[in-house]
Amino acid sequence: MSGTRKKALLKVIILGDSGVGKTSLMNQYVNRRFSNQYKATIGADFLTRDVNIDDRTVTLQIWDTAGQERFQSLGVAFYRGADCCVLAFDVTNAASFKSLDSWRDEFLIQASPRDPDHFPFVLLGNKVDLESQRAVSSKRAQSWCQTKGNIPYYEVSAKEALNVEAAFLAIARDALARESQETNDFPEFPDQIRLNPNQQNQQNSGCNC
Amino acid sequence: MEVEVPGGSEAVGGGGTDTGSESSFKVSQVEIEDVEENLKNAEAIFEHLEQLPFQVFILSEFGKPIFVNNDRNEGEVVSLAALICAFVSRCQSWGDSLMTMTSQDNHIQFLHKSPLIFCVVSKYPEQLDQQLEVLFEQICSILSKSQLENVYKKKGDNYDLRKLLRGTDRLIDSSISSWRASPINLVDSSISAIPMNPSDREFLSSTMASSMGAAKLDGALFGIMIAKRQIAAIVRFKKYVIHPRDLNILINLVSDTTLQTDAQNWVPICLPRFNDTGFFYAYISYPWCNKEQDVPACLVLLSVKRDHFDGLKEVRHQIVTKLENNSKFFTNFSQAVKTPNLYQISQIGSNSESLWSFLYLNHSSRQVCMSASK
Amino acid sequence: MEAIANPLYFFSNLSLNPPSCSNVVRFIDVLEFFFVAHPQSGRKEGEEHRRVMYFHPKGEQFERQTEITGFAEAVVNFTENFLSTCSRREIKLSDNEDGFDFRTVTTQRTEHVYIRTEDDQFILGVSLSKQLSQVSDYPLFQPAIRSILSDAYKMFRMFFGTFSSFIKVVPDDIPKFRERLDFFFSKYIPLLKVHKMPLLDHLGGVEFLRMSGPLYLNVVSLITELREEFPIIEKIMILYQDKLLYYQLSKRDLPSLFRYLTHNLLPTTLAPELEHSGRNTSKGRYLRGPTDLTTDAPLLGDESLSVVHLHSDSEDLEELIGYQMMVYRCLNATVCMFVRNCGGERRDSDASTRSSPPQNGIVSRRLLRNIDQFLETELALVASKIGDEIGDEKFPEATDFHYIYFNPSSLSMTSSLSTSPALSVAASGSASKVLLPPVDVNRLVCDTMSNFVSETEEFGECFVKSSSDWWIVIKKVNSRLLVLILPPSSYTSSLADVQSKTATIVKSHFEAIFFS
Repeated sequence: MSGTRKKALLKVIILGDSGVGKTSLMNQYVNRRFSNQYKATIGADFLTRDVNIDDRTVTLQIWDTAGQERFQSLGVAFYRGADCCVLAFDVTNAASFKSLDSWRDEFLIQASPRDPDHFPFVLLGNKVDLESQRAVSSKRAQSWCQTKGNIPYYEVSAKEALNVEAAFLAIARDALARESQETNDFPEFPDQIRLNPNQQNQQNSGCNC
Repeated sequence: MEVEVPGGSEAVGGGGTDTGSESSFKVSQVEIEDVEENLKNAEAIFEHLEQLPFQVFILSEFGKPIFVNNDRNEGEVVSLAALICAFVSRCQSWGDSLMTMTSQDNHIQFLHKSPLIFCVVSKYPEQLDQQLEVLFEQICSILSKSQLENVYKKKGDNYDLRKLLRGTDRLIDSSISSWRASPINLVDSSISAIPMNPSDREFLSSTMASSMGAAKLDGALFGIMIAKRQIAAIVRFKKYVIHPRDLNILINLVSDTTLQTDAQNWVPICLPRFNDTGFFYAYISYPWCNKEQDVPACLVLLSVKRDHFDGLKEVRHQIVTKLENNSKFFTNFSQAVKTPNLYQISQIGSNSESLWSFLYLNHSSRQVCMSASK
Repeated sequence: MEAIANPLYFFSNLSLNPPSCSNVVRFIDVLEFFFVAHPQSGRKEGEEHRRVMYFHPKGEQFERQTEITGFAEAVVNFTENFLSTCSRREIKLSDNEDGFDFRTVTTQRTEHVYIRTEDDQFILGVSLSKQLSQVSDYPLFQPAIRSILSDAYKMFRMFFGTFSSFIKVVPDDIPKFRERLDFFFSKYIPLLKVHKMPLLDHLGGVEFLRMSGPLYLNVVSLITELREEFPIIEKIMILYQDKLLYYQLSKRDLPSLFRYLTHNLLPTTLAPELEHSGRNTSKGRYLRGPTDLTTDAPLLGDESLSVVHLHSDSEDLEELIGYQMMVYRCLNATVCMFVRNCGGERRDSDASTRSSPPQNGIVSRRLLRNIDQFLETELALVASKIGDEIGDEKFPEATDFHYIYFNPSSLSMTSSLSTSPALSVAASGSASKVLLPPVDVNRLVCDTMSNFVSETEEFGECFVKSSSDWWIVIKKVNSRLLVLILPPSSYTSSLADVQSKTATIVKSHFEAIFFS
């Protein structure tokens, strides 16, 4: 890592019931991951993917969480500091769609972002290749998205990686836009040391003068 | 002529004779681990030590990587940082705090100092916890502890701290390298003094003290002469003391080679052991860093007031002039600094054949010195 | 030390705590958890808890069991990232020599050790509480914890075979495997005691009886004759009281067998004997197995012999073979004989107290009768000679120091700090009249060993003075290890004093064994 401008880094959390296919979606999207077992052992798989937005490269640090209740004890640590959140459901499974509200709420509670109303979410409806078994219509999903502040909606399937890519691009772009609104930072040195005339350091005298 | 162990002991034996002769300044060969050749200068040793395998990670407590000291595949680093965060968090969820993991040949140490997590992977287990504490203090010296703690509160948990640390990679690297370069300084947080004969040091100290005193700069608290990562002299206003850990931070700062020109630098720096919320301003100069004189000594003048630059510039000028005017001193000083004498076994008067080396640590003065090996 | 001399102390009475002056600690008093995990079983999302094969304490919530075992597995995987390829190869090679591939984790409150067994298919883990250890004066020394964990695994394996042998068909065989683990560990763990001097558990040696040359030859010829008479006996070991005399079996099995006999089998089966005013019956008998040898009925159920799984004598072979174990006792001497267990499946479908051999096992009552006939006289002869010899021996003065002696090639270990199940009331003369070393000294011994005494060097010497003025001397000569622990005294105030005292002690107590 050299001194000049570093690649922007975004923490992305993926939430959704187990069985909606998050893992196979991620496998499509990310070509390198640590062993799968972290999800089963520590509660999430950790993936990295670089995307190009305009002429900037952005690194996405993706936390593919386990869909189980039990891992929510780690919710605060996992969710906080996230730049964006991907919600996933299975279009052939209505229950997984109904869970979305609680996933979103849970996330907002645990992560407590500064601007919850405008926090970047993306919704993925997975397994659209199983059209005959569809239980949640595209329209229904989209209207849900609208009620939640116009969350972008993407229909994906593990076979069609393209849409997954578009979804991540969108969310990265959104998060990046937020980031560049802030001015460049430099450390501030406003705090002058006030010398207390009675100041005694605790240690013994220590110098050879 | 025996070289005095600095730190307060009385002159031993026949003092007064000249120490200037070359023959009494022998540079001993210091063997470091399995290096065959003689590494005569600090830089080469440094470089060699840096090659020892260890990896350091600094990340936010929510998993975002901030610093890594090697060129591991970047993608891997990003995922590793998240994983480290997960481990630390899991222990936290149990009401506990993760400290180490070891396997057959690796030691991994963790330190969680909100809002940061530090992690080092090393082949050697010694003092890893201290090393991480030192690194934390290094970060605090760049940002101040209060600013570090507040920035995430002000800017949000997802803030990228690398923005505030832009350009400081060198400093952090230097702090990490210093673990190997001066490991003994970690022992009880001590400093080592460069060997000089007492009269020279006395002259140096009093010159610095009088020049600083004469300037009457209220808030200029410390003057330090540093060479080869060791202290030549420190002067201070009576009430105030500087902790060895803070001194080591300063040593890291001035060891940055980009500062070793004859330009002068005015650098804000927080010394966490002194005051972890505010900043000192350090006037740093290498007065003799030119082809003719080539004395690698660095003068540091510390003040709490931002506007003391000009005043301290004048102080420096005074000090340099007076030192140079005393040619006898200056010759000795140059010699002592360019090729530091290493303590000899024979100096402690032991005739034992089996004594290989010694290390002397004075708790009350917090000074340490080490001999060359036999 | 009277409490320890009472043989009843070692029986399964959980309410008996070792007194605080004792040299052992009940393992469960410092234990936070212990588990056996099978990572393969917990891969499916939603079914992660299936990886837990055994967990102590039993009452722990499933969620926490899953978290704990998951964390351990994640640590193993995580640390793999930092292993270079050559160390990876090295570790595979040394898997069964020095110990299992391991990881340790330290947190503010605990110390964990995990080991991987059987081609990394299984993880065993343990966590000890720093606070409880402090209260019990038990220094946490990672190598010792690792040995304790390994020994637990090896003991299970000795009685029941490898973990893998249980789960040939996954997941069908899993419940049986879990049940067997539960059967064993829920007894083993609560009864387990560990030494306050953790180095003893780490070295894991066995205690030999010192005998004169001629007497030793008597023992060897007895065993030789026994095996000539009954060639069906493939392995053998012989003890007197709680000390080993001689053995013919793989060294890899020796520590587990020895511990089982001296800490478990002998104390439990001899209780009635000793209760009756310590007089042993002169008639020889089998411990376990049938009581009535007069018939020829097959050995079934409660009367069947234990089966243990032992290594082959060839160091290269890893496989374990089942042997039926006959344990015969006469006049304080115990002979353990092993006959290969042939034919049929070991396990039946219902849980029995021990594995029952197939009906066509070759150990018959007749064989037992014949061996009995032989040993009743021959063993009695040798045993009484031994009894006489050690009875005649002037008990060496109790020492004013503590010591540990260990010979890694013979596994011989003696110490004034080890538990002696005290099967006989008479002290074996290795007692020390000095108080047990305080916990900081025990810890210092362990730290000195890890930091200054190389495991691979054959020679070495180290003198350390504790801040409480105890001196520790560690000497290695020809790989044999001697640790001396000297209490504070005016005779040992300088290094020179200690060096001369050491020389004296070595000469008077250890010359024979140290330098021979």
